[in-house]
This record gives sequence, C-alpha cells and structure tokens, in this order.
Amino acid sequence: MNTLSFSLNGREVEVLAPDDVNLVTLLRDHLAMYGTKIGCEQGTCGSCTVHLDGLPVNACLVLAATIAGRSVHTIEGIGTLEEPHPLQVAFTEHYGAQCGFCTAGMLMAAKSLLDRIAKPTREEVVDALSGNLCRCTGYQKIVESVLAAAGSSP
Amino acid sequence: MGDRDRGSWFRAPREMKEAIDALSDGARVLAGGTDLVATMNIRGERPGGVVWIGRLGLERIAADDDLIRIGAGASLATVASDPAIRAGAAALAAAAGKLAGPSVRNLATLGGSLCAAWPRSDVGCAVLALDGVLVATGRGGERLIPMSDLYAGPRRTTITPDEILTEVRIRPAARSSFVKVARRSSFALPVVNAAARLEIGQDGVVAEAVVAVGAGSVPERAPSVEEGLIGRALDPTVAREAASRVLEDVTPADDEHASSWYRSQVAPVAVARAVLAAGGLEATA
Repeated sequence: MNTLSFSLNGREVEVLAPDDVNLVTLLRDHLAMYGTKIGCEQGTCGSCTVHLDGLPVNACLVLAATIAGRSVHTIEGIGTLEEPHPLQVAFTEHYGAQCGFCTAGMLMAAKSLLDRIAKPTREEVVDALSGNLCRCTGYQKIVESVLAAAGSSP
Repeated sequence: MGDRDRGSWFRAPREMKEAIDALSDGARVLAGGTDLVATMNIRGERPGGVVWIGRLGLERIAADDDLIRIGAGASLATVASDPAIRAGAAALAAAAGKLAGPSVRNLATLGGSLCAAWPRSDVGCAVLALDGVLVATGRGGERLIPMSDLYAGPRRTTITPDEILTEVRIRPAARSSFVKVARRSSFALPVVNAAARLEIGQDGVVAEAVVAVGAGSVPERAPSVEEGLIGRALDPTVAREAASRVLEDVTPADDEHASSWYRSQVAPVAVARAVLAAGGLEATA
C-alpha cells in the first residue's frame, strides 16, 4: 500500500491504495466514486472513460500509481443534480441514455470533444464516440444528444 | 509523496540509468499501459515489478530535413497529429490515427505499440515501409535496430527485457501512405494492412519503392511488388499488376479475424491502394 496524491475534479486528494490497481478500481473501491463504470477492462468499451491531464482515457488501462501529481476528472465533476452540464441536460431531453451503463463514459468522451470543438459536425461526434460502446440506443440518440448540447442541428 | 518513496513493485524513474537498473528480476516496462495493464486486468497476473517510463521525457518529437526523431513515449494521438510526422511520415500518422479508438490513442505510445508486436501491427507496417530505425537503450548504451529486424514473431521482439525502446528514427519521405482493412473502422485489429513509400522522378517514373504488408503473422516487406514498380511510370494498371505479386512475398494468416483465402483476395487490393495513394493517384479512406 502506498499513499497516492493527485488532483481529482479540481481538488487535491490523498488515498492509500495498493500499487497494482488500475485507475477505475482506485476511483470505485478506494474513493467510493461509483459514477465511472467498469466494463470490459480491456480498453475497448469506453465505459470507464475519464479525463487524465485533460485528455479522455480508459481508466481501466491506467495503472493508478502513474497518476501521482496528475489531474483526473470524472463524471462526478462535470455537473450536479441542481446544475447539470448542458450535455447531461441534452442526454435526458434527447433520450441519450437507456440503461445508463455507458452514459458516464459517453458524457466524458463527448465533453472532451466539446471542450475542443464547440460546434462539431456529426462526423466529428461519431469519431469522438467511436471508442464507447452502447448496447441499447443504437447510438443515434446519443449522437443527437451531443449535437443538441452543442447547439448544432442533428 | 514523491516517486522515490513508492514501493519497489512500481518504479517511476526520472533517469534512464535508474530505469535500466530497475529492469531486472522480471520487472516489465510500462509505457501507456494499453497492453500491459489490459493483460493484468484479464489474467489477474502481476509481473515481478513495473518500471513506468512516463517520467523519462521520451515524448519529444524533433524533426529536421534529414531525420524525424520520435520519442518512443509519444502517444499515438500525438503521432497522428504531429505536423512533421504528417508531412514526412504520412503512413505512420495514418496508421497511428486508425489504431483502436481516441481514448486508447491518448494513452498508447508508439514504442509500446511497436513492442507489443501484435500480428499485422498497423504502426509496425508503416514504420517498415518508412525504413525506420529503432533505438534500444540498455546497459551498454544505445543499439540501433532496423525496423525489419524488430519482430521475432507475433508478440515477440528482438529487444531484450533489460532494454527500453527509446526512439524511432525516420528519414522524411514526401510520398507515403497506409491502408487498413478491418471489420470496422475503430477497435478492430487489421484483417490486412499495407503501407508504401515511393520516390517518383520528374518523368513520373518510380525511382524507389518500399512496400510493406501485414497479411501474415507480422508486417513484411513485399520485394516482388517493389520490383514491379521501380522503373515504371505509375498508373493504376501498373500499381495493380505489381500489387498482384504480393502473394509471392507473404503467406496470408488464417485466424479468427479472417481466413487465409480472404486475406489472399484482399491483400493485393490493399497494396494497390496504398501504392496509388503514395503516388497521389488515389485517396485513402
């Protein structure tokens, strides 16, 4: 076990954890932040997408020990029930979530896109979400939600 | 708490010598984690130790007219978007940009992707066509490995466990291209890939051609295709004729991604497209 210090959603945190856990396990089992989901643990489903130093990454592929001194943002940091992020509003209004398992990862991937490109094209949205699997929606509603959040026409 | 104070299973050295010293007793090099951590996740096994090379400053990319030097720690996302690589090693930029998906490309490194040595490695195919040279750093200093000597087979390389791949060197090439055929456009290992680098004279005649193809277990040069191109004026007929010889050079693999028959049909098409794209006669998707 080692103490790990890093920035989580803009706040400095210290957590005691084994060296060999991955970042999504650290978040869920050691910091009780259950918004980020564990899916395939192979980097292919995107349900554990978080931002590491500002870039979307698969938290299951990040060895937690490597985040010392770095910055992590998770779904818990992008909006609240009282003040949801425009993407979260759009996902509820445009049926972007069904079972919800992929939603946190979808939102983090989509937020990264909108942080870079305020008004993305449909193609740019599809590309940005190409690492995130959804087994319910067939993706159309998710793409429409992201375009709506950006104020682009679907 | 600094890296120095961390337990010995995990080390994050800031000096190359410290990293090389730490690579003993079964410790593994950790770069982006997309291969090693994924394997740890699925098998539940742990290597004897982990040496994370993310603090060694291996991300740097430097280019001049004669050489592009890509730090092995550069992410695939960076490699795909770097202006010098896009201009002088377009095949590699394209291969890096098509691998897995965006969030994996932010983690995965060029060096890690080469060392993972997956069958028909996309970046391996591109670096082979670009005649890249790899720098492996070990106890004895730096060792240069031509890309054609990297693979000892699928998932095996000639880099020893106490060496670190630190840099990829590529001579800038004005004309290069990469083509990947996969079951879908993201998160799919290639069925077949192909990369080409051409030098074409003022008269439109091919002066130099390097063609690499991933259809067998590892990316391979296709000398018969190259011979079919050199000295001829490039057009679609010449490209297709030359590409049809690719099966003289490679034996298509038979696996869960595709049958050898299917690969034997697709490989000449992929090679022809790569050659035409390198020659500026066809756009790649």
